[in-house]
Amino acid sequence: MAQDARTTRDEQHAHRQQVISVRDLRKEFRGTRAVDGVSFDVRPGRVTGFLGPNGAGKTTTLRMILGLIRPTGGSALLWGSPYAELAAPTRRTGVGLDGGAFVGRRTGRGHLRCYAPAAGCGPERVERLLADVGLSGAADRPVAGYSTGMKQRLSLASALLGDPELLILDEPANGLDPEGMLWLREFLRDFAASGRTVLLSSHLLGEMEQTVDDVLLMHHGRLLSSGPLDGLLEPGERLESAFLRLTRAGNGVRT
Amino acid sequence: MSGTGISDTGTSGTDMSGTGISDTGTSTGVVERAGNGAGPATAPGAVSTADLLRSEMLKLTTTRLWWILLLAVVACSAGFTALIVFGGLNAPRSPLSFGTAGDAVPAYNLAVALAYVFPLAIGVITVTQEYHARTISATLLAEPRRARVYGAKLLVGLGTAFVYGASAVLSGALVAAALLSGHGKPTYLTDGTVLGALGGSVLVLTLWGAIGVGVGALVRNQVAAIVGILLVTQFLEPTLRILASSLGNAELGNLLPGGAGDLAGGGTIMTAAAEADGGSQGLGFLVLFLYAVAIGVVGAVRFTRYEVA
Repeated sequence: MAQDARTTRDEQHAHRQQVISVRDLRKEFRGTRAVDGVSFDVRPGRVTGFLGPNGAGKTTTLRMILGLIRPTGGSALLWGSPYAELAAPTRRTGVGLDGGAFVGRRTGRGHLRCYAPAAGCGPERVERLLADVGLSGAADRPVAGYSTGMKQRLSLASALLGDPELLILDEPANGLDPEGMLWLREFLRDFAASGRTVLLSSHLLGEMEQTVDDVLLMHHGRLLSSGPLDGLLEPGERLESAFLRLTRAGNGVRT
Repeated sequence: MSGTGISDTGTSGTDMSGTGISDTGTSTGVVERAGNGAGPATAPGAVSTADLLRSEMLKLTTTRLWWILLLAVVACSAGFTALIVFGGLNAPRSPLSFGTAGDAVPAYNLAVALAYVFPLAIGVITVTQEYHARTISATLLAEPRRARVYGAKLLVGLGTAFVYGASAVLSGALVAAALLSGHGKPTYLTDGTVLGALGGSVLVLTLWGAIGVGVGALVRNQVAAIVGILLVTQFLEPTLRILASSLGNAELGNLLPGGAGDLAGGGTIMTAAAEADGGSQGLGFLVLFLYAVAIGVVGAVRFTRYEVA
């Protein structure tokens, strides 16, 4: 983790080693500091959990990383480049936002087909992904009739269209039943075990404890802690207790 | 399942590493990739224009809306043409006459007079549907160069509006010609004036699609945009045109987009009703084209700067 002050050259080198590199990222919405000077790195081959309560600034940070929201200040780079400068970004990065945003009258298969061309994904892979997420049977039904869990799985299939090496998922565990949660966890673990990278946000600290390698703990727009999960927890401590301990410690440690 | 690393071309459908989520608990090992996968094996090329257009076309054709609106524009054009031409042929005091080809033009131009709201609407919806359903995030993630996305939407909007325009004009013309010949009158279908009006109508209706894309990008809210175009095209503009006419400045109505479109189509019953038939078809095109460019540019600025929160 390259978080100390270094020369520009060293930092550029560090940026290249990290999959995601965020420096002093800030966003103000009409005077409110939604994200207040956040810096972190996401390492390859790891599942990084971007954790914190609702309203902590996680989604805003993710959207700044993805170039959907302009930062007030700071930088967010993927493989050393802003997202918007990646060529055909969905062939390297798979993204699931909003618990899946779909046109209700479009079918599950129709949704995937719409986003397949930019991801370089052919029809066979669309079918394969539908089968892998267990939606083959529902593929020709309008998404409006899907359950929350089915929408989450369609959102994940959508993110995987381009066979990406990085997954960025916003609250992918929302609305999943215990079986779905287990399924997601194993999928993400396998994805990272193959050398690829996952950054996922969640407010479900208990669930994430069993899923993530690294933790970015966010509260009120600031990063309370960043690093491996093992290093964050005191012996026998649960993530939820650690979060409370860190929030009570005041403004948190600026990293 | 053998992993392949990152595919660098669009041919990656068959040889993908598995996604490993086929069933709970047995997924271990299915997501293996060749190599350690920690870095990009190859640099993928940019999203091609063909892929962008294909994506926008699919967004249009994967819901039923486009052909419901297509049926509506054809029904509107054919239905009003039947009603008004039948009335014109049979009513004792008809505002329409069919003595010359020029007289018959308003009968052939009912599509452009009454149905232009449909190509306008489909143009609007290609943009607002994305905001309404929040799929705009996925769209801009697939191609962050927003001007290219906007350009693709503009082209698809123009193409769809052309299909709508051609279908509406053709169906209206068939109905009008059938009624005229059934009444023993000449159809003037091969007359240059009528052909120019029909061709002009298709072009006008096509331009309305581009205006729709711009309006959609400007307004973004789907309900507001649809209600807005209905109010403006069906109420506000006709009122202003009649008002301009009653104040003795009927030509001012030709500077409004609908009035310009009517003029560019070669004149319609609306042009006749407002007694604004002074301008030329070319002037109508120029005015409507300027509207399309202005709204298109302002829409582009808004589309490229918007924050997708």
